[in-house]
Amino acid sequence: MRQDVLLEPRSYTASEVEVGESLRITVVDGQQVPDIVLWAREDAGERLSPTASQLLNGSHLMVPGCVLYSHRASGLARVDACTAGAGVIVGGSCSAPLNYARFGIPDTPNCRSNLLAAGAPYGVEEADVQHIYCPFMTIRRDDDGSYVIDLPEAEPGDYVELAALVDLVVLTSNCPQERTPTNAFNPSRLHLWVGPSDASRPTLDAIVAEAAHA
Amino acid sequence: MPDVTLTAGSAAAISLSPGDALSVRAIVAGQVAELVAHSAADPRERLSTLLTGLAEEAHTLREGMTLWSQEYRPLLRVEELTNDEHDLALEACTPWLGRALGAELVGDCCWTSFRAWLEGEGLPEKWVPYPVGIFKRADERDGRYGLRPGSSRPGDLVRFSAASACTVLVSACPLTRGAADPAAPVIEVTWNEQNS
Repeated sequence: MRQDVLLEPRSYTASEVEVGESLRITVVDGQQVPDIVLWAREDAGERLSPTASQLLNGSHLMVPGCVLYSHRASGLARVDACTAGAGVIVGGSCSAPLNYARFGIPDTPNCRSNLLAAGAPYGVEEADVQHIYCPFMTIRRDDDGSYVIDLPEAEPGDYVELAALVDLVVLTSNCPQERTPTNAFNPSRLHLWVGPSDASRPTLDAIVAEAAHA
Repeated sequence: MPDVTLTAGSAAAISLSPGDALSVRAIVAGQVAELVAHSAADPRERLSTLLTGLAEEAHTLREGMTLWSQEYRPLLRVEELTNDEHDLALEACTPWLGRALGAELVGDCCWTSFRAWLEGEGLPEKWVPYPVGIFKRADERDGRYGLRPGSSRPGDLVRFSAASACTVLVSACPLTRGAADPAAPVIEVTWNEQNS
């Protein structure tokens, strides 16, 4: 086991996932969304491309079996599981300016700040965290031309799992959004695990028990 | 009134002052143009189609909407459009994606043109913004999500005004082309310097 961390509400982490390893994010309390950024560890230019991922998979959403591609059309990771909803993949996360635009409240917690903080050891800048994979998030286009964010479906124990196709750096923000249905207006805990793809995963009971002892 | 005519795979960079007008007009049916904007004060401040879409509650262009930077400062406004099928979600086309999709590419991909301008500003490729895909369409048909021919008819246009000093880059997309002849003019860009 290389990483086993409880992500408290509004927190973040950085991970390195090597070929032959998987990254699993488990929903602990329910209705919670992570924002994920990833790139090839040996070449930061090989970064996640939402558009290449959608067009090369022929799927708007990243369902199990989809490959997350780089903007140079190389495979970075494969979605091995997503037990609730589907994976949205978009060009940007919640940010303080976006929250201000939508709610008129300055300096709110947001995924962009979280991802920049998580990526600080790698020297990331704002442009490095603009390509986002959002498993469990539910967003759709309404017939009137607007976007609609719905409550996420994920229940405690639901998880998403990625298998690394190249050695990866992965930044994860436990989305702190509390003013939209993204996290059911109540940011809660996630659990992140990185380890060999053939290793056993921690169960929700074990995650909760360990959190209680911490 | 200056103007430039683009063939597929070519691009233009236009510096605008507040109040200047810029129009992008399709010459042929089916052609897509990709447009990005960078603040004149700092090119790292650039168009954010995500912030624009969520702040304006729109997944396409609408008359009167503002195109915002990632810092929620206004760059452009949409003054007029004759066609409401545009894209605010997809990235600029790249040569790698074009080849992977089996497209016959001519000239430079939109991403390549945007990157070249950024290099002139001393910035690396990661600062290429998500563009407004003018006349661009992508949807799911027969269970597969993909690009479709552009929504443009000859003469369709989108007219913008500059809300702040910015540089606008317009590329005639070689991935979604309206003309088989690579030498054919496909997009006309016209701008009007209100303050000159």
